[in-house]
Amino acid sequence: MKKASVVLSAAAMTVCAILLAGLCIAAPTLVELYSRFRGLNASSGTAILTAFYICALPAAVSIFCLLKIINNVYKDQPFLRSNSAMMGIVSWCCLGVAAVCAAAGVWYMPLWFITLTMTVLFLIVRVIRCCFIAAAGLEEENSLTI
Amino acid sequence: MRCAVIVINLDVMMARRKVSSNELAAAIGITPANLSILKTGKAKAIRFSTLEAICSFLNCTPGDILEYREE
Repeated sequence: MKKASVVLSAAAMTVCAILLAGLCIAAPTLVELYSRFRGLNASSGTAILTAFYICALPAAVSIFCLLKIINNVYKDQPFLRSNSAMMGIVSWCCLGVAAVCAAAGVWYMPLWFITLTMTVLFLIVRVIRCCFIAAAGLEEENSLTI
Repeated sequence: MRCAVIVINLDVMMARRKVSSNELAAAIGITPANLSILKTGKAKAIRFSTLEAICSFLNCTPGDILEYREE
């Protein structure tokens, strides 16, 4: 049952990776359709598209890190120093996306909601990372208690 | 600043009693790898049950195995 949850998480991340790859290909068409539907000007469309392509890199890095973490969890090694380091990378990716959306929000204001969301996510991931570091220390101490 | 350490003298006691690592590990119910961690001083802590088993098998006291040393 525990493993099933881990496998489900890994599957969800793989789906996200595939979706991201698909969006990278379809983004120009989708943004054009959205711009036409909402009646946005050209600069807004460009801002959305540029922000998306810049954010695609931290998103891909985050998915890769999360897959590495979930792989370690599957191997019954959740509290490793490397996992907390990966969470650190994920948190900085969140902040990076927040910064990009903050800049792009000047041309398309709704992107500031993503900035807000990603900043909160950055803080949450940092707190979880701190918990993981503490847990890794306890795990090390426990494994070195003979 | 005074610095003090706890030194593990398990290898000394094992040599005195002529007991091998594998023999002791099997007798006290820990793996040879964990016994090696204990002998080399890499262990962060030792359980009372482990100490009790070592003392019982080597016929010694905890003071024979653990030594407080100021450096």
